[in-house]
Amino acid sequence: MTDTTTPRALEQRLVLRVLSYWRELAGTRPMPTVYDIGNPPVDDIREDCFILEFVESGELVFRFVGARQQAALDSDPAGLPLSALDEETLLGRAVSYRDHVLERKAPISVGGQFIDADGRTVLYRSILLPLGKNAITALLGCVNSRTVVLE
Amino acid sequence: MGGLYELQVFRDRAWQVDSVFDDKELAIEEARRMSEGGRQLAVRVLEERIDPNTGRTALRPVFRISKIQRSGKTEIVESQNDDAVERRVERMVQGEQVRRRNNRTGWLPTIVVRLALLAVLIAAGSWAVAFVRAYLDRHLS
Repeated sequence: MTDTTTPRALEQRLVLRVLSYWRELAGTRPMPTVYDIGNPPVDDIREDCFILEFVESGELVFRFVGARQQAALDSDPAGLPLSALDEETLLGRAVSYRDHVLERKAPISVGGQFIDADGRTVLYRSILLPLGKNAITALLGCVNSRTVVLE
Repeated sequence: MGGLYELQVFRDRAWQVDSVFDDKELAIEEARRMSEGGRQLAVRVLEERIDPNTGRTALRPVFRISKIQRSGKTEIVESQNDDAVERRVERMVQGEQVRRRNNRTGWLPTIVVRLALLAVLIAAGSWAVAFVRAYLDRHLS
């Protein structure tokens, strides 16, 4: 039986909840659109979520970033292009495999660990999900993490 | 990205990619969850491996879960081996088809066949009696 109380289980539960939400919005379509999600997404996942949208130049721009991610960055990157984001942040890790999502046109969940700016080891699990009608026009993302002390 | 696990659902008579995970356990958990949700009749997880010699991606089934309706009940079959589930589901489906056929061809056809035989016997008997009467009338009168 799956343990639903450990940090790992809690991380996974969030990812699977976002996936269920995305499927529910999609219905019989291959994927929902960014308009189905609205701004911001549903309450219980809002704090950990973010939305990236393609602009005319072909660049991805943050349209929405949840409160927990804003706190981790000490700023709200909404409106900023993806290129402005430091890759060695939780959000940076959560968007690092976006090309694979665009290529496969399917949600991808990735976990891992990295050392943050304060030298702490951060374990994370993330999911990136495509949004669009005929083509992918945006990405819905969600990530949660925990800091661990490695002996 | 490292090893990936592709979750596929059987929809519109074909396997379709639903989502991708870098964690086998999580992919299998989601496959079970989807199956329990009632919408999917068959879900499987394929492991993606890159052949170091050719550089090509190979897919290997690592988990499969199928639901089948039998005797009005839903049964769930799951295995780490895709072929094993395939064979078991096939046996269950065949068993169910035989059961349904037997149910369908139970008492009604038997009665119809018996009535038809009886009708043929009566008709043959009537014809024989009529023939004998006609013979006797012709030769005795």
